[in-house]
This record gives sequence, structure tokens and C-alpha cells, in this order.
Amino acid sequence: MKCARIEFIEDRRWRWVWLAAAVVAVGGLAVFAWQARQEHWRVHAAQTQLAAAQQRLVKLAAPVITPANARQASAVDAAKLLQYDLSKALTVLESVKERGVRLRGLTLELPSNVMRLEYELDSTTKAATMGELLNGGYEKAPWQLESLNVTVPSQQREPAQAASLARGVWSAKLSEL
Amino acid sequence: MWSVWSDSVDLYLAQGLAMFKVPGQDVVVVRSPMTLPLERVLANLWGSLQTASTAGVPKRAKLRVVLSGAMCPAVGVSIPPAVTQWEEVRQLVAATAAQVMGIGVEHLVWTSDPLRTGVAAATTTALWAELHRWAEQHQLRITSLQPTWGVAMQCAAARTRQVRALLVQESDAVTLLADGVGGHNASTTLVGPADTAGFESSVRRWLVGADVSTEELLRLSFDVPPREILARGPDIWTGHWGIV
Repeated sequence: MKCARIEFIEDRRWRWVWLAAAVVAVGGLAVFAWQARQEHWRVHAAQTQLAAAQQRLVKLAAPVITPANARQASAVDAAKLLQYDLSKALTVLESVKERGVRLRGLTLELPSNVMRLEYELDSTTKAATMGELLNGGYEKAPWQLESLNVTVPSQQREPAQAASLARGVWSAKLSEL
Repeated sequence: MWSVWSDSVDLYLAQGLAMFKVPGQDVVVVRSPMTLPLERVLANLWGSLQTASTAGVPKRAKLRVVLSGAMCPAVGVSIPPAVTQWEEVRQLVAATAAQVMGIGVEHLVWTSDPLRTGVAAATTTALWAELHRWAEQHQLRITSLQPTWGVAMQCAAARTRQVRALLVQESDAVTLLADGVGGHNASTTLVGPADTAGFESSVRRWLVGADVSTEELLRLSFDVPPREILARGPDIWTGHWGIV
């Protein structure tokens, strides 16, 4: 025969078993939730540290902008200038022996590395001649006439000053000389 | 002291008969007229317990109650295969128990086997309430309440393949139990002593209706006088069971 169980009184011991199982289940869920929360805060803290480290890295990788030091800048410019070989340009200057032409000024501009020569000319036609003389020996003509100021003769001038009719300024980049 | 807390005291109730057993003490038997109210029967029983032993009944002991077939008959319930809802089964069992007991559903307390073998047990609410009142009065805690035939069904001797039906004979009733077949269970309780005329023919008629042969029927009896413990018999009220 099948074993049938007929009992009017409910076995309350199973209630304690189910209660214990429920307590264990709830406790397990609580522990899991607490650990998940702890893990969440750990991840958040790690992400914050990572973001801060990335920001520091970006700052360190940026080029350093140092304040301008005039004396140091001047020394640097001088060092740059000294690297240029001006012997050829000075040789050309020395070789220019043209009548009616007189060198009045020589300027070296450091920021733009440009040399300027100012000649006093007794006639405006000498400007073209001077250009050819200065660019002689160069494949590309580095010297360019920058300005030509024609002086209007005045009757009140001294006879020595009456020969100067024009002042021409030629410029060239030091890197092309 | 721990043995006192763990041991159970047993109470057997039948029509006109009450038995009480405390571990380590003699069984106290009280016979009363069948018409005596249960309240008086239990009061007489307690009085006998007080006089029978100086040790008395342990306080807050666990009480196991066994009711005879006449006080808690077997109800064979036919559950159609189409009925699957648990609430519908409960209502069907309650209605069948009320029909067998001859009282309204509101006046009976019933229980059925959780495995839905088709057998249920029912008793009156008055008996239920009186038992609990008496137990509370004497600081006893009812931990089990079963019919005699329910105890017999769980013994090892009944749970064999050769046994397809069980007969439990008591002083006031005979209960016939069989497994349900096709949703129909033929279990029933015949109220009255077994030595009445026509009893055997009733049993044979029942066996035919349940499609069980005589060889497949196990006959157990529950008696007042103690006897040799039945091997593989019930574990409650051991020493009072025998094979007929």
C-alpha cells in the first residue's frame, strides 16, 4: 500500500527550518548587496584617481612656456647670429668698388635675421648696378632693393652734398647669403 | 530531565474507552459509558492518572493523541481527473467528509494526505476544541493527532507490495483502507465492534468492490491488553497491536 500520512497537527518544526532558510537567504542577499556596494565605491575611487592621473599627464605633456628672459634671449640671438657665415656677404661688400657709391649703414635684424645695407648713390641709375654687384656669385639673388629715396637737389646745399642724389636700402636674409 | 522534555505521552480515545501512557509508567485505562460526554471522560482519565502514579504527568510534556475509527473515520474521496485546482480538491474532500459524518462542513475538522492518495480523516470541531482545552488545562502540548488507522497505514508491515488493502480492527470500529484506483478511493470505516453478525460478509463485499483479494489484505487489531510487540508494526502504542 502507498504510505499516506494523516496528521491533524501541523509540524511546526518545518516553520523554523523555513525561517532559518529565509534568514540565511536574506543574510546572503544583504552580504552580497553590501559587497557589491563596496565594490562600486572602490571602482568609483579608482576611476577618480585615474581621471586625476590623466589630467596630471596632460599637464606634464603640455609644452612648458617659460617667461622671456631678455638677457638670455639676447645671448641666444647672438649665438644664432654667430652660427651664420657672413664672410661671403662681407666679401661682397668689400669687393663693391663703384664710383659714386658709398656704404652708409649696415644693419643686422635679429628677429627676422635680415641684413640691410644702406648705400648713398650719386645717381639713381647706380641702384640697378648695385643690385647686380651685390647678387654677383649667388644663384638666387638674395639682395633685394627695399627702398630708394631720391633726394631733390637744393640750391642751398654745400657743393659736397650736391653729389648725393639717392639712398638705397638693400636687404637680404642671412640664411640665403 | 532532558528525557522528560523529549519523551511524549500518549492518549488513545475510543467510544467508551480512554487510555493514557506515560513513559516508564503503566498504561492507565478508563472505561466509560458511550453516552458520557468527552469532557467527563477526560476528567475521569486525569483523576485516574493522579491516583495511579505518584510521579504524575510531566509538565509541558508533548502529547500524542490517537483517535479510534469511530471518532475519526476514514473518508474515501473520489477525485475526478478533471479536478486539478487545489481549492476545488479541498472543497470536494470537505463535502465528502461532511456527507460521511452526517454533519455540516462547519462542524467538522478534516485533513487529507498531501500526496492525494484519496483518503481523508474527519472529526468534529467539538471533540477538537475539547481536546485542546483539556491539554491546555493540564499544561500539555498536543504535537500529534492521528486516527488509529492512519498510524497503521504508516507501519512497515502495511507498506509492502503484497499488501493492497488494510483492515484495522478496534473496539468500536473497523476501518478498511485501500489505494485509490483511477481517482477513486474505497476506504471506509464501519462503526461498531467486529464481532457483530454480518461483519465478515461486509468485509468480503468491500474487498470485491475494491478489487482486492483476501490474500492481499493485512488485518491489524488495536487492543487494550498489552501484547508482544509486533515486528514492523506501528511505532505508536507499540505493544497494543496484533495481526488478526
